[in-house]
Amino acid sequence: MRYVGQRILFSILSLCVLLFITFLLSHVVSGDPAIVAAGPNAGADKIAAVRQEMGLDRPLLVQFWIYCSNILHGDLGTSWFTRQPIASDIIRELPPSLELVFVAMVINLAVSLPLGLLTARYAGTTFDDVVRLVVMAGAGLPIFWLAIILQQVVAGQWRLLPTAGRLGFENRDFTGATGFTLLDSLMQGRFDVFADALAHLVLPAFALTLLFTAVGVRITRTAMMGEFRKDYVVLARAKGASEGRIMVRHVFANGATPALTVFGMQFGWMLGATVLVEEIFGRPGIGRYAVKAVTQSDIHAVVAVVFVVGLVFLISNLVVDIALFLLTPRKHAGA
Amino acid sequence: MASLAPPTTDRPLLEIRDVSVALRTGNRTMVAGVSLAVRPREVFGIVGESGSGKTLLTRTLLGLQDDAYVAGGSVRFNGQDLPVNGYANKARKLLGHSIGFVPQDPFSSLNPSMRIGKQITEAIYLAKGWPMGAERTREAAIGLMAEVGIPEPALAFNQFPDQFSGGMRQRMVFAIALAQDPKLLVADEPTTALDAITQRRVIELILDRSRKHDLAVILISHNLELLRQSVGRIAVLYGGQLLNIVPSGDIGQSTIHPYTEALFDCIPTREKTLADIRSIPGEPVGAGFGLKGCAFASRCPYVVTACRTTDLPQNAGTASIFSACILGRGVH
Repeated sequence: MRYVGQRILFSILSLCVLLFITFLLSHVVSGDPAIVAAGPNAGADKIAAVRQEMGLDRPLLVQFWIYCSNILHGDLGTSWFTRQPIASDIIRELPPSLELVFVAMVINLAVSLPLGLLTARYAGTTFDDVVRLVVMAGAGLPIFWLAIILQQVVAGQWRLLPTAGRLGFENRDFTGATGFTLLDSLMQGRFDVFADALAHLVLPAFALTLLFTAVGVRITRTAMMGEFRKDYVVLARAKGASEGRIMVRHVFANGATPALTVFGMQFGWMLGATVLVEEIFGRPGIGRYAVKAVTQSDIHAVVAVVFVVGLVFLISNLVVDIALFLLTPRKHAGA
Repeated sequence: MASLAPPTTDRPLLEIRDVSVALRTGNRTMVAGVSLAVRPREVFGIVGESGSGKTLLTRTLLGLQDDAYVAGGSVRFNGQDLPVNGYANKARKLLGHSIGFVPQDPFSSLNPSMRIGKQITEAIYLAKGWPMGAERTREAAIGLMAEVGIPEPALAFNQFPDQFSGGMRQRMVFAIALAQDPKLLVADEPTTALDAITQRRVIELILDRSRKHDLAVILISHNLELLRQSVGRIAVLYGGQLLNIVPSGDIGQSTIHPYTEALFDCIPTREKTLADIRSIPGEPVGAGFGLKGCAFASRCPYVVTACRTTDLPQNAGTASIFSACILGRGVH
C-alpha cells in the first residue's frame, strides 16, 4: 500500500506541474489578457480597472494561487466567446471523447496483448513476420487519412456502418445522466440506443487506435520476448502446463509492466488525437471543442482543454500503476 | 545416501539407444550415439564439462529444448516408445506427472510474481488434471513443503520466491516435482548455484525423498566428486559422445575410461597430495566437433592413431557398465 500512496503523491506533484504550465500558458504567453478582455475601444482607465478586477496587478505567485484555487473549485474560467463557464462546456464535451477513447482502447488492448504475446512466443516464425508486416503498415498510416478512407469505403460505399455523428437521426433526442451514451443507454435499458451508439463508434475508434495498436503490439512483443527465455517458463513446461497457460498465467504478469505503462500513456495521447477523428466523423467532443477554441483564439478554453487532457493523462497513468501493483505485487513492494 | 548397490535387472524405466541430438538452425549434430538405460528407483548420474552436451541431451529428451531435436535413435520410457517424429510433443506429455524436472538455477526457475503456494498447487492440479478443492490442495502443498524441509510452510505458502534463500527455493522447486508424483526425477545441476554446505543438504534431501517416493533420479552435474558420493552409476559425456558408464565405486579403484580417470585426477580429496591433483592438458572440445573417432583423443595420454580414425564403440546393448575406449581401458 505504501507503493500506491507514493504513486498518488507523485500524481499530485505532477498535477501541480501541470497547473503551473497551464497557468503560464494563460497568463504569460497570451500577452496582456486585460487589454484583450477590455475590448478594442477601451481606454487606459478601463484597462487598469479590468486588470485590477482580474487580479492581474498582483504578484505572479498570488495569481497562481488564485488560479489553482479556482480550478480546484471547478472554475476553469469563462469563455471569451460563449460567455459560458468553460467547466460546463468541458463537462458536456468530455464524455463523448472519453467514450471514443475507451472503445478505441478496448480494441487496442484486445488486439495488442494477444498478438504481442503470440508473436513473442512464436518469434521468428512466418506468423511473426506476417504480423510484423501488417503492423508496420498500420503504423505508417496517418490517422486522418485512415479515417477518411474508412468513412468513404466502409460507411459510404458498403453502407455497413453510419458515416458520421454520435447517434442516428431517430435517437437524436436521447439524453442521460452521465453524458456517456453507452452507459446511459444501458442504465435506461435502451439497447437499441446502445447498439446505435456503438455502431457510430466503431469506425472512429478503429481509425483512432490503429497507429496506437501497431505500437502496442510491438511493445508487448518486446516486453514478453525476454520472459519466454527465463527458467520459470521451463519449469512451467516441466510441470506440464500448456503453452496457453504459460502465456496467460506466467509470462503475462511478468512481462506486462513495460507494456501496460505504454498503454497508460496511450490513453492520454489518444484523447489528444481525437481532434482529427472527431472533425472527420462529425462527432461532438473535446477535440472539436479545442479546434473551435483555437480558431477563435479563445485562450482560456484552449488552456482548459490542455489542462483536462493532461489531467486524464495523469489519471490513466495512476490507474495503470495501481493495476500493475495488483498484478505483480512483488515487483513493486520494494519500489 | 543413495543405494550404491549394483543396478538390479529390473526392466529399464528409461532406455535410449543410439540417440543423437541436433540443433534446429543448421541441423548441426551436437550429441551422437548415446545409449543407456536407467532402471526404476535407480540413482543415475551424468557428468560432463560445460559444453559436453549433458544439458542439451537431457533437455531435448524431455522436450524442453526449443532449438534442438532428437535426430535419430530410439527412446523408451516406462515401456512406451517415443517416436523420433514429433518427439518433443510426445515427451512433453510425460512432463508434469511421469517425469519431474528440477532446473539449474533456483533464482530464476520460480515465477517471481506468483506466490509459492500457488506454484505448488498449480503443479498438483496439472498432475491430477482436475481440481481437488482449494482447501485439500492447499493442505497437500503445505505437507510437501514441510516434507522438503521448509520451516513454517503455512506461512511460506503465501510468500513470494524472492523472500527465500537459494537453498530454500531449490527445495520448493523439488516440492513442485514431488507434487506431481513422477516416476523419474531429472535434476540438472540442481545445486550448482548454491554454496557448498547447502549443496550437500539439498542433494541429500533430493536423494532421500526420492527413495521414499520410489523415484528414479537422473542427477546431472559437472562435479564428479559430488556424483561419486551420491549416485550408483555415472555416465560420462565429453564432446557430445558417451565415453563411459561406470559404477561410482569403481572410480579411483579399478581401471576406468581415460577421460573419467583424468576427471577424477582433477579432484582434490583427503587421500591425495597436491602432486596427485592434475589438470587435463589441452582445451575441452565442444559438443558437435565433427564426431569422427574419439572426442578425447587430442588430450588423452594413452592415445594411438586408431583413436582418431576408428568409429567410437557404441553401447548398443544398453549395458549397465560401458567404456567407449578402443584400447579397452575401463572395459569390464
